Amino acid sequence: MIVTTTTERPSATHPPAARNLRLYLIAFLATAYLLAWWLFGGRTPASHSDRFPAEPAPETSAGARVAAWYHDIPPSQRPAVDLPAGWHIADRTAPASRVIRRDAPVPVRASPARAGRIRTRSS
Amino acid sequence: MFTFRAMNTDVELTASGDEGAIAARVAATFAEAERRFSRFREESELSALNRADGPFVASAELFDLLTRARAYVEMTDGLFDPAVGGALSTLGYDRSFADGALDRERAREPVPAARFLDVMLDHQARTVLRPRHVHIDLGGIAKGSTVDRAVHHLSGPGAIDAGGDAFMRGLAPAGDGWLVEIEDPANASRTIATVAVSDAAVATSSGNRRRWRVADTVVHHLIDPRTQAPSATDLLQATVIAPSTEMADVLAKTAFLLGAREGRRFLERRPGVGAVLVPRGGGAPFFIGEVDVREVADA
Repeated sequence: MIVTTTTERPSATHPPAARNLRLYLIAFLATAYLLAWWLFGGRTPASHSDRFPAEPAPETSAGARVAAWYHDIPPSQRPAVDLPAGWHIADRTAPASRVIRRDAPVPVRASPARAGRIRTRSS
Repeated sequence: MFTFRAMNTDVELTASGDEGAIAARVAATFAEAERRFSRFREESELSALNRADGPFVASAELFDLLTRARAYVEMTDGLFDPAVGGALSTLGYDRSFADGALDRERAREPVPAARFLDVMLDHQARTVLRPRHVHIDLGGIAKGSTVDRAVHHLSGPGAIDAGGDAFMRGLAPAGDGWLVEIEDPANASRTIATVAVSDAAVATSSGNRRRWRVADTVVHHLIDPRTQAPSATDLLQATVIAPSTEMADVLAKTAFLLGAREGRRFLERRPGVGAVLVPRGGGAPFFIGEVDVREVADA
């Protein structure tokens, strides 16, 4: 009589069917997460004009505006605003870009005394 | 050519292509640098650093400039030292210069000697730790580095001149190098020499401008870190031609402080650098290194 013995291998924690099910579940959840991220979180950031739409501020039930762009208020009614140095009041049409460049000097065209010549001196 | 005012000086720009659009971008670059590096603006990042009472997290731009400044301090054995801000303030140079605006009857109490090497730069955390008595002045190096950054807006040959700190790219409209006239420090209406420069920068240091009165003494803005006082050198003026405006500014200051003999030795060791030094006492200017001299005024 021939007797064969086989070393018993430790059984897998999960049978193959269960393991496949787990992989499918992980893949499904990852796809759902990516889809949700693409739909709600990962889109190209809106431009400044999208994020700061130039539309009228909401009105109260009495019809008075609760918020307004500073420059939309008639000059005589504008409140005095004491801004810290370097701060500027944003404009409704281009809130960011105008603020950034407001204090940049404006170059003016000039006629060179002699073209192609530079004068150096202690500065 | 376009011109605008920034960093308390007139900036002039000559460019090929859409010169107006380039000038606007260059002006924005200067405005941004002034907002960040001015020690006269309360809201600037440098002023915030000079007020900081502990580790200061710096922007990449400020940290990079401080890192390069430190390299120049080491290269010049401390003759270039941005820590002279305290000494300048003691003399009254605590606001933008204007003729007569800094005059005063008495000097303030002297401040302890300050060294930029005592400022700790942590590259990992990008923090700056400044001893309380050290006040940093990035005036000249900031202007030079701003010119160098602004040059990137040029799409072809052109020149940007910020009150004597200038970079010339390519050839001038006449098809030759840009002709740089060096002002006579003894007579601002005269030109002491004219040199041709292409794809290089030029900067000049002299005590003949930015002078003011403290009691009975006339002082100037070029502080010798060894004495913490306005330099007393045997040079009237030092003009340096170098690969970058930032470097030209640092080397011109250093040569001026070193004087004729040591200044010449210092500059001759720098490859790719040329200089025109004007001695005190009316002697003829002397030329060092790679200088394409076109005209020299009669003595």
